[in-house]
Amino acid sequence: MRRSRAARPLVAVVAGALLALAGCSPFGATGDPAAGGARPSRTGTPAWPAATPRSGLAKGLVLPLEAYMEPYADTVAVQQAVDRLTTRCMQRYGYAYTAPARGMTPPPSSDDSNMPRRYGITDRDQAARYGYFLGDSGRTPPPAPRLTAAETAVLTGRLAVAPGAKRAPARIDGRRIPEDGCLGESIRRVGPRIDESPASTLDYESLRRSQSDPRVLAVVGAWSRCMKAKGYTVDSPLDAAKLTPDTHHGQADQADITTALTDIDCKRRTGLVKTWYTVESAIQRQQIEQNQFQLQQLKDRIAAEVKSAMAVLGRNS
Amino acid sequence: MASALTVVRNIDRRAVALALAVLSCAGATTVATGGQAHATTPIYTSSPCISRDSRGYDPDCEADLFINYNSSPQSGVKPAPGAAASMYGDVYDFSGGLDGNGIYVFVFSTGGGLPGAGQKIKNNAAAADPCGVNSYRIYYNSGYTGHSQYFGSDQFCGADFNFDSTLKNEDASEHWS
Repeated sequence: MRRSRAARPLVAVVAGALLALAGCSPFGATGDPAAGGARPSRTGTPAWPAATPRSGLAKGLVLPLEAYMEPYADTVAVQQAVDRLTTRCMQRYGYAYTAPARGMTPPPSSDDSNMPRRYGITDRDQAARYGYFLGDSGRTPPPAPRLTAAETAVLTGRLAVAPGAKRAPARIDGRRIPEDGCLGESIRRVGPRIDESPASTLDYESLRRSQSDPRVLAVVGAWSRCMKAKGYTVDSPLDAAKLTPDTHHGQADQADITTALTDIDCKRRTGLVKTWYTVESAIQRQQIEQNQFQLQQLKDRIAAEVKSAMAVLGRNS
Repeated sequence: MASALTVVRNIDRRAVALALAVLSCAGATTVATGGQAHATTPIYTSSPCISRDSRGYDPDCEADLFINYNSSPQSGVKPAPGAAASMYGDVYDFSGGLDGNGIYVFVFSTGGGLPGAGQKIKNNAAAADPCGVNSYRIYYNSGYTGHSQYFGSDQFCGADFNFDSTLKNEDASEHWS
């Protein structure tokens, strides 16, 4: 499939104008609101989510299972390493291939535990600007390179980048291509895709189980009553985003912001984040004990892949 | 494909049966219930890459995250057999608003009559394939909250990756990664 322009989500020209009016400057990147028409992604890399939250009610909090997860910066480095090897491989076949720049559309969380927003929003400064939204709706990824059919075949070992794509012949223009193309070769060299579910599944489970803990029930109930006193009916911080549906492409109005600030103030008053985190930490320490071997294997695999990526990129980790 | 109906699905879902007409848009399904689209009209669609005016695909949006009703029998190796939604970009709430035209509710495509066809994707999906250059993070609660799961870019597009949740049906928002 060809991507001939910077791909954009469903964006009204009006949304672009709203961005301009709001003076939107997400994550400190220079504001450059889209005023309609296809635009390349803004110059300069946006700020990446920190491995440990640096502000707000979740500041400094790290759950035990996070030691077995891959932080954002490492996922980007691994992709960049694969890209670099892929470019060299494509060159061998006579193609000038450049992967799109990575890390240009960072999510709000560094790893699966999503500490900054795990129990709903926790950053008052962010809430004051964007409510429950992220302030990054003008940001889109750099376009994928345009590839000919032959390039696609050499890159991926398939005839298209699409579900159900058929495999390309083993030889293109008389030359043998690697299995799964240059991409396959590069992935094998840096490290095959890692199944992170041992840590991720447990992390999901601990959040689920913690919601039945009496301390969590008590503090969530207190938060809900605090919200109710301000006029908001909501049972749990995990449902709070529904109080302010996104009907204007991620733009928060004053009411949205007031809702978000109330949410965070109620969390501060009830000590919700610290309590919930304490309960979960205990659950996770138990999970780690019970799954030590598998988790350590995962951690070692991630470390090996990152080390390999750093070597390709010529960086000392 | 009777076997598709017996694919792993441990927990009973609360299935919402939606009667949708399949439109002629290539590969995607969109229906707006009620007359003129206005702020509270729910618009059921299997992809955000559809022009609001139903003129056809928005050429600047190209689906690269396929979310499946079923799980894959071999995560990362085989495709999931259910119906899929063709997603793209950051979505705050899979059953929430997207813009001022109406409240978008993302559903699995009705084309092909696969398991889950026409049902909401929110809290009802089991696997996904980030088919393209972009990576994604799927969040288990709307507004990018709760537990999340990373889906690294996959340009081979021949497999789906199962969700962490043992309930295999919690998902509410997504973001590029």
